Amino acid sequence: MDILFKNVNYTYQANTPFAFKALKNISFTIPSGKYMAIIGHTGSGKSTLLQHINGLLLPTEGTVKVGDYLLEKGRKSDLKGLRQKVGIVFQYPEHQLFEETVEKDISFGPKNFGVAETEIKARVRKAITDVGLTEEILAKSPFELSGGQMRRVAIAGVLAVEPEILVLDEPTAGLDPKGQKEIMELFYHLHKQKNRTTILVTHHMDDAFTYADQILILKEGAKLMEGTPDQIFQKRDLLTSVQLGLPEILAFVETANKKFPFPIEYNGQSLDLLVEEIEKKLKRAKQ
Amino acid sequence: MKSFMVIGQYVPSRSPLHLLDPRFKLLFIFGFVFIVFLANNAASYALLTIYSFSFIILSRLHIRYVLKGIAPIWFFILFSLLFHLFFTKEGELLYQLGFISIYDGGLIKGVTISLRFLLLIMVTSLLTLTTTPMEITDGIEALLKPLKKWKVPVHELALMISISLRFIPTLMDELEKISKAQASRGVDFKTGSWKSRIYAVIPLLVPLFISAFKRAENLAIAMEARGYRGDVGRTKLRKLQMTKLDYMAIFVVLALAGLFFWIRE
Repeated sequence: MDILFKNVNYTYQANTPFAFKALKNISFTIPSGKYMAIIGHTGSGKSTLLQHINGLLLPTEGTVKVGDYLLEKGRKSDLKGLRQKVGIVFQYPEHQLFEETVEKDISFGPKNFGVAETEIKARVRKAITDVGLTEEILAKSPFELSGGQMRRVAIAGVLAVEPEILVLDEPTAGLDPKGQKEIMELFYHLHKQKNRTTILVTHHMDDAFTYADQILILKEGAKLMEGTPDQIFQKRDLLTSVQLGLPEILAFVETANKKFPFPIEYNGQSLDLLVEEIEKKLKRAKQ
Repeated sequence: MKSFMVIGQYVPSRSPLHLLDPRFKLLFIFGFVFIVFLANNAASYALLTIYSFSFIILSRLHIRYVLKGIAPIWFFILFSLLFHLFFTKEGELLYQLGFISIYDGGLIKGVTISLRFLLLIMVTSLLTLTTTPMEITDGIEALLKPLKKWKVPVHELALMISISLRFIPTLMDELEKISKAQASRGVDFKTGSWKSRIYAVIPLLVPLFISAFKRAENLAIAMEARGYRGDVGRTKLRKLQMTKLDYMAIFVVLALAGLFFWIRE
């Protein structure tokens, strides 16, 4: 399902003294099966934008199209059908856990969308192993788990619905570095394996750079730029102007280029390979 | 980010009503509640209505905004009007159609009661619209101070009130977030049978309670870490002080009350 934003404006608490324009004339397209990262600072409108994708918010002006679903102000659409196809992992998703057991909590989504009992059982087991937990945890109460486990259970609850589009709102905030990497790898794996459209909202340049096909940068509710990671990082002056730096590895290549007399090129190799390459060149230069 | 409005949410401004001492405003509201029930003829009701709208003008808020802010109450106002219109059978018969009969006594009662209700809510909502929750609790604490003699835990009560008020918006935000998360998981809060809608509340309330308890615990720890140990020896950053404006306001209000008592029967 393609996602299409057309001149979307959104104002919170319109017509009150608290009115606040959170999105300003946003247009972009996410083709089916792509991995899109949306980057911006706190208050740049990222979270507001993602809530438009499954109709939690309807644009004050403009239209949002997700597959065949057209969302605009004053129009009734089949939101439940849309929400089955668009799964959202919110910030701190563990706050939405409520059931007595992990199994019941993961089943909650599929049950609401009318998936058959036997199918739900299979999906729950698949989802829990997907997020890197074991089936023994299913009988436990979600509230006796550790923070990291709770996060994984909450994510499993979204995955069990098997959405076509997965929206992630800073899914790794507050996790330890190892957990962060595992979770990000998991989403990337699901994206590749199922060709699932994935939208990652983050302020980590590195994650966006590593995983995304397309990057959209928001500033104060307006679109600042959009493009592939390479295109984006060529405009580094613009990036620094919004206090978004280069991803670590690109910054590293840049400093290395200043430091060493030979050129170092970056074309997607890992840090280890890059270091090896520099070593080799250094030795050659010394000889 | 909130997409809804809380009734009487404080609107920052520096209007005369905003600048008044909260103690005075609280006492005034207290008095107004009694006064409203003492109106007994058309002139006194008209006077009260004029007073109320002048207060809104003094607060420099839009009248439309104030009226919209009390939107959830409109239902009760309308209900009491219609209830008396159809079910109070006093005075002369004005109109009859089938089983519906309207008497002039019912009409008068309906109009006066719903007008009282409207004025009451309007003026009390002005209190919270023009006074920060902190000011209100400071005011309550100051007014209840004499009760300390009888070992009433005034400071603790005031603290409880201010913490609850402080956390209403936070909990509302939290509730909105949770309900969005559950809506994304397919919960339908708006359609479906009554039974299914009542069940739909559980996925909201459980997480809300859990986070409220966690918050309370964290708040207690944070307060202790900053040396809070109750009322004893505690000083105030903002001392309430009556100004010229307050004395003027007392004078004006007493004059207005005098006019009211003179005009009522």
